[in-house]
Amino acid sequence: MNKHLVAILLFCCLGNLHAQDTTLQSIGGLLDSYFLAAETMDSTMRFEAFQLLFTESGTVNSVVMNSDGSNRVKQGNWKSYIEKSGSYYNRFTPNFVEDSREMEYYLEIASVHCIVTQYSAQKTSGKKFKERYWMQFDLIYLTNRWYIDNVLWVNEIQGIPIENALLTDTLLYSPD
Amino acid sequence: MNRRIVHSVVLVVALICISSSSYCQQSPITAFDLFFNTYEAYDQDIESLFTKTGRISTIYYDATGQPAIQSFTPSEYKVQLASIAEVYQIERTPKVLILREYGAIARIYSTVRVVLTDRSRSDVLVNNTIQSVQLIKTKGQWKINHISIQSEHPSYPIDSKLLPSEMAVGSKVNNQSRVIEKDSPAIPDFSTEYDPNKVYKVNEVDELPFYPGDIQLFLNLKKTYGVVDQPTVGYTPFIVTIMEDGLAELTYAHDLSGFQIAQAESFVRSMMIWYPAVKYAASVKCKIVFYIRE
Repeated sequence: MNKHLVAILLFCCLGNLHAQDTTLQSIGGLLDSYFLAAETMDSTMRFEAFQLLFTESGTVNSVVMNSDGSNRVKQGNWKSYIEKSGSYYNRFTPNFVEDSREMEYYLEIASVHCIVTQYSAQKTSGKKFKERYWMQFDLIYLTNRWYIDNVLWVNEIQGIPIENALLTDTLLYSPD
Repeated sequence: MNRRIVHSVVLVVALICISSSSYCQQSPITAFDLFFNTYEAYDQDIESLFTKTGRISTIYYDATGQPAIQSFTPSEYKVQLASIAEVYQIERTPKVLILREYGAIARIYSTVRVVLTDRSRSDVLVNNTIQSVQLIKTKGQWKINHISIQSEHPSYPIDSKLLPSEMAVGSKVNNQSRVIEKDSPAIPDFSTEYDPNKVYKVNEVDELPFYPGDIQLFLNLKKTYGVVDQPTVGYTPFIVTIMEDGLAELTYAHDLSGFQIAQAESFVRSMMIWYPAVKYAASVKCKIVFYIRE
């Protein structure tokens, strides 16, 4: 991963100098920082990084699609996500690769869609697992930089390419 | 026999109506539609349209003009709607929707026109917004998980793909429409000089001063300080001037008591920076009369 970005992120976290940092002034910089934060193994550092990236009321949600079509929804704020995801980080080392990105934005809000491949290396066996996701980010521009206000992801369903998530229908609204 | 069939049909239709009115969100669009259709019905269970951690984030601008976020739970949002509904009839109409859907999650990025009609005077305020709505299918039903709302800024019109030109109406206050005329010249007419020292009345300007952000914030502000904008028994008039730079100043308060002056000053200090009035394509001073409770 980009060592320069890691350095910037850690510098921001430790030095509390994020107001001067230009990385978070761009949507790309914010998302790169998010994936770096999500790869951070130390939970304290991960907490500080998320604190830097999320709004105070920011939320993290996930939907796990099962092969039978059912799903499980997990919701909460970013702080509870840090706590609850601890067991995953105890067992795996994650690595995120962003495959594609689309977005809509207007002034201070942006909706960003990413197709992401997550690689999880099991610590005990070294075995690698791969999962693909559609991640939706709600971003907000405050105090001259972007923040994550909400993130939601869903895993790829077997037989239905996750890239389909980026296909759009544009509708002219006509209420029933 | 026929009567029995009719009764059965009526019963089935009634059950379909009941189920579709509040609980049966079979598609993201249905859930989206229900949210906007229930907007006027404040006694309805808006909360049931959201997930358990559902949230609405609105952008507003503080006194220095900086953007800030206000986050509501569905219950809090319902209270906000109810307070606006005391004064205005609310009508929200989505215009163009961009839908993405995969598995059990969906996103609708939409333009929504909000029309507030004063219940007593029939004045109309129109505001276009961008509303980005995130939905999750949980237990077989689509629910709203998160909404981001941003009002249209007069200087940064919403893209024509999301707001076709025939819908591109700005604010409309006191029946003075800001409709963008198709035949209006591309270059503003600067041929007529405006008076930079004059404090214009609202009926003398081309565009009225416009309070930024979510309209409910201004309504709450007025309610907090007991201020109305029409002559009302038990209320005393005072004047606020919106300067060329959008700052508000209390410029006439001679009829007010000491307590009322303090209240009026707090009211003005709490205001965000306005979009100033426009005369001959230039920002000008404009005075607005308000009335404060005695």
